[in-house]
Amino acid sequence: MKHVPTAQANVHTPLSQTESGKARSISRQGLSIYWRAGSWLLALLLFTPVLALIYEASAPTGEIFAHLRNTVLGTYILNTVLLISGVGILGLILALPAAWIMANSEIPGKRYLQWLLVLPLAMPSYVVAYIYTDLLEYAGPVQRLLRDVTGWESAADYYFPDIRSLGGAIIILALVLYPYLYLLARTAFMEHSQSQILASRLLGCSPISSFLRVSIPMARPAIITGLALMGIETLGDFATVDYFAVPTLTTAVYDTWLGYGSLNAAAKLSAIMLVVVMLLISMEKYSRRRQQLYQKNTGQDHKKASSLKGWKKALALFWCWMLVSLGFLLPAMVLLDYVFRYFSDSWNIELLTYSLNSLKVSLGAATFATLVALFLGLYQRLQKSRFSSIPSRLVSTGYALPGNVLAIGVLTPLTLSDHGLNGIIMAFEYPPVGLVFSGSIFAIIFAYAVRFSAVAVGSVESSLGRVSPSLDMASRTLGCTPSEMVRRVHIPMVRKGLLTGFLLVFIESMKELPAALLLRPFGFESLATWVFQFVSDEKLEQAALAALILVLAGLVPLILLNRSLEAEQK
Amino acid sequence: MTALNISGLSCQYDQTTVLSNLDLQVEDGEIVCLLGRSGCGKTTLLKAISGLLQPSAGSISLHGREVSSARGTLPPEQRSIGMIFQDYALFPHLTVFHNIAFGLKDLSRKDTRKRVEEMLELVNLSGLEKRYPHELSGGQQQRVAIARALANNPSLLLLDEPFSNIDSQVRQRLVREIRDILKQQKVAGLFVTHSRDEGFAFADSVAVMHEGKILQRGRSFDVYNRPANRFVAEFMGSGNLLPCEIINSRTVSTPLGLVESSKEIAAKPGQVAELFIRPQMFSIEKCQCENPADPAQIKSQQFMGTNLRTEVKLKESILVVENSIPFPESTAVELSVQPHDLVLFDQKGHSL
Repeated sequence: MKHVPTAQANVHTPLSQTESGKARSISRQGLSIYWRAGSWLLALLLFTPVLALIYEASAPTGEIFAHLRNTVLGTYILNTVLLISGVGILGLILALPAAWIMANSEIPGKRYLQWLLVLPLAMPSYVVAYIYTDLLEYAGPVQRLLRDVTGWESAADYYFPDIRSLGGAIIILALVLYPYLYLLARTAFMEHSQSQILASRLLGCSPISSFLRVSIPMARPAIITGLALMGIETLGDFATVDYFAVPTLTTAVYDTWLGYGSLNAAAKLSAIMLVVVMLLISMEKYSRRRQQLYQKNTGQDHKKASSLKGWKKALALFWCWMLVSLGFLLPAMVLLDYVFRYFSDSWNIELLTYSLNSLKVSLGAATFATLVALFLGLYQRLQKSRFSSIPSRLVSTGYALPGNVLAIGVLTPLTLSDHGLNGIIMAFEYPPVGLVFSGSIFAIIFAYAVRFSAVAVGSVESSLGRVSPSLDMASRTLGCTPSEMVRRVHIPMVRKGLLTGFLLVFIESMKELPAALLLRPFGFESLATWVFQFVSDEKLEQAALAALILVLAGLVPLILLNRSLEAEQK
Repeated sequence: MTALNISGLSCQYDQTTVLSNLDLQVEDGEIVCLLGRSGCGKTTLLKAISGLLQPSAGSISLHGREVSSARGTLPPEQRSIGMIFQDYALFPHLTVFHNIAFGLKDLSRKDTRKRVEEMLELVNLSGLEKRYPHELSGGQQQRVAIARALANNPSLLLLDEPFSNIDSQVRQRLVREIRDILKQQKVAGLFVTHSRDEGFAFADSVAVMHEGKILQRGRSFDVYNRPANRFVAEFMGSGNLLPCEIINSRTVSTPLGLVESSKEIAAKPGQVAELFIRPQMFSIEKCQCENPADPAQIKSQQFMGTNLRTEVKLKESILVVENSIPFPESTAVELSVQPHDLVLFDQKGHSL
């Protein structure tokens, strides 16, 4: 946090300034030119991959894309749409009841459950997919047991749904991604004051109809944000659908590029995906269009959770434990079993090297993204003009890009930079330095920053949004220049948002796979690429320890995140 | 000396004019209440004074030093203005101590501590310096805000609806307390509210604001009793409008009969006007005559705590009267007006 930029105060001497006409707010003139220009430059830098993609996509249609369009493109799009809506719907069904229970009622073990419910987020979807396939396929323990009990002898004797299908992918992704929705909805439910719920109850609502008519509509912006996040994650998922052999737009991008080597077709496919993402984002923005909530009267309105009894308690417990078990406990136990049984196979020097690689890359990306988020978030708050939200929006578009698409977008400008740099150096008769940008982990860190800055930006933005505007006025009238206000009021108040953003970017970067697969320097493996290699080769058992480390690394920030949420509750 | 001098101030937001050609002075140590409905431009005026908004015309001076004009504005931090907000605007991440010390810059650690302790004592919160804002009641939070604003000896204190989030039992006491603190510290204050009662209790004088203009400025007693126009009259408190005709310089004729004024009326005999009578200026007596031709009748009565609010039916109209004697419904009564400086409005609603 040492390199936090500070705003420069613009000193206005009332009589020297020749400003005429309309009333202007000071804050509009308050930021220095460096900050303003810096914000736009940073935004453009992080936006270059998108520009590169748009440039590639607008190139004339090549043969391969024309062929795709005439044959399988329809299926790809249909599968993608089905996958996103399926994961969304299933996510709603899974997450909303759990969020409501955790926010409003008292059940045994609630303290543990409320963070256990977040843990599936730490599970790489392809690991979960692998484990369930292992459990549910013909030779797996479930079907074996079924045959033993019933006496059926072969697959022809009975029907068993194939996990390696679109439906299977929906279930796996929903199980891993529902915590996004759960977290956002739970927070929203907890923020509602008891009096609003009471008012609806007194006006004749049963608890259920109060939930449907008051709580859900009030939490709708949060719910839609959660859905949008899940949708974007689903769209970006490559490993699960690839493993299940479900052709979607994402796998198509991968295949057209690696299989046919057509950047053109890949870029065109990703342009279609970009449209889907824009729909999801505008849905989220639209749902928040009239939401302006500031923190007020903190501490006065503590609500008491009602304790559940009888069948309600049983049902609530069953629901929450089912989510935790299916999304986390069961796959984690199987993974642990692999680890113990194949420990000597997976405990080796590669593991250490690749862990350090992942850590390095993730810390770099998280730090970079958090600084970007702070810089741009403050720009947006202090520079109250119509255009000041554009840099943040530009940066956030990176999240829309599936990893493999992003990789193409990142490589193009980085390769150009490398050529330029080497050209300059050689012009001064020094030996060329090689591919310092595109051929090093810089490429991955940059790609992650492009992809995950949105997470940090969102987190910082929402915590800045909760800082009441009167605090700005108060600090200014108490003698703070804009830069002091940022340092003494804004930054301390958004520290939690910064931390949350940092941790989220860190998790995402640890687990990120497709971009790493395509951008890693020669011989460089991250934990994720290494594990996926073993998943593809149907021998995850031998990389179980690496997969476990991936899970554990994702767990730590989640637990911290939950701690800070709990502290906020108190 | 004049603490605040605003002359000819106009402010615009986008294309709409929020303040137009506004003048206002606040003397040293004086507390002025800016009264007006929401949307009348009160908050815009506070923003302009604090330096968050640049005026399009006119100027603002603090202690003779021009700080805002169309040519430029001095940033808020250089104005030495304190501000109190409706939502208190305490920094939630800082303790009471650090909130109060927030604006104290050039003091040593020891002096800062001393100053904060002084301020805590002033607002009666000694011992609470380690608490966080959310651990305080609304009234306590507002007192911390006062302490914070006063710690730096501001030349002017702006108060933006500071009591509206505080429940009414505590409010009266807090209003008095804070007024005493300001008076003791000899700080000039500009207090914005939509509540007359708070304004009367808190301020030395009031300025009634409507649609970006100040309609009347004066001691609250004077503004109440000698309103400049009908809007001010009605805004300052309820009253009854009776059509009347000027008989001579001391008498008007109304549906109630002849009414005397204790000051001379500035209008010609024969002129038609409207007479504005406050509820407490009537006297009611039970009608003595057997069969009055056109009796006034008690329509309803409601006890308000000190007096009764009595609705009297007079011909077609209903008059609101404040008295202390209960009457049964439909009692025929005789209404008379106590002699006072009559408030008369011409056709356009301006005071005669």
